[in-house]
Amino acid sequence: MASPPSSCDPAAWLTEHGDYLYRYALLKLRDEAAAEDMVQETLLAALSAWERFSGQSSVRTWLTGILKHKILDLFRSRAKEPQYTPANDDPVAELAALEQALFDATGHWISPPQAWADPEACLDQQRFWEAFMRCLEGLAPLHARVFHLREMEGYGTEEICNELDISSTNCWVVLHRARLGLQDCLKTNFEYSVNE
Amino acid sequence: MLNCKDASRLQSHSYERPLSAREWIGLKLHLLICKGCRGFAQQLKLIRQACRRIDESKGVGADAPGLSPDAKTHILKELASKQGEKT
Repeated sequence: MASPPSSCDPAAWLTEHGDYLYRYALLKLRDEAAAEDMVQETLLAALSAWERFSGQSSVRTWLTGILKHKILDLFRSRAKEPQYTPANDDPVAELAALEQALFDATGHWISPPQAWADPEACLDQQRFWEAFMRCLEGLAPLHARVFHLREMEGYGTEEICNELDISSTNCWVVLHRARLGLQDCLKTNFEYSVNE
Repeated sequence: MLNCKDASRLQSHSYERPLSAREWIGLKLHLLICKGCRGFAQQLKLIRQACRRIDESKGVGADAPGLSPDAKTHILKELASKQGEKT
């Protein structure tokens, strides 16, 4: 059971959850100034909406929910601004470039991904998370945006295409490019071992 | 016969849309004979699981830098002025 809402104390929200919200926003936006703005907007919105907070969830979960909406709004408005969706950003060509690095001329893995005995064990390893977060940070902005909406927020491909104004084919291509890049990055940055 | 490049695309697509019967059979046959692609299948699954867990985990890196003191001061000021408006 979540504890009942104590009091409306935005300064305490900032102290207790500010860094968390900031990192969360930074992970998605990869832009420090924008992430700071998002935290501010989230707390301001929370202040106005405090009466409607039911205390069903923790304050952090509540604030994170507001933040997610703010980030999605930002993605929406950015999708309409040309500097965030450059016309020469060709997902198909970008995927082809990565594939050329990972597959030989006959389309076989140059360095095949290894099968691990117990992949889920990685999720309990700090080392894995460090590598995974680093790899996520390495994604190009468009890839990061589409990938986050799909995998972390759980939006459908259809919705993402509409929000970001890209075709569903390009959306699949971007997602595949992101996944291929992530697994390649993990291969370099994380050595699998269960003996921990 | 599918090669690994095509098979990896299909695997990724299978997370987004239903594969056609032909694609599905082709992929299954390829996975039977290709260890590398079975490894890739596992990685895709792990990536998805990791993403689902990111919020609860220390994933949002407790050691990563947080808000700068300047930003905190600024946000506090904005909050205080908004609170002032309300009362």
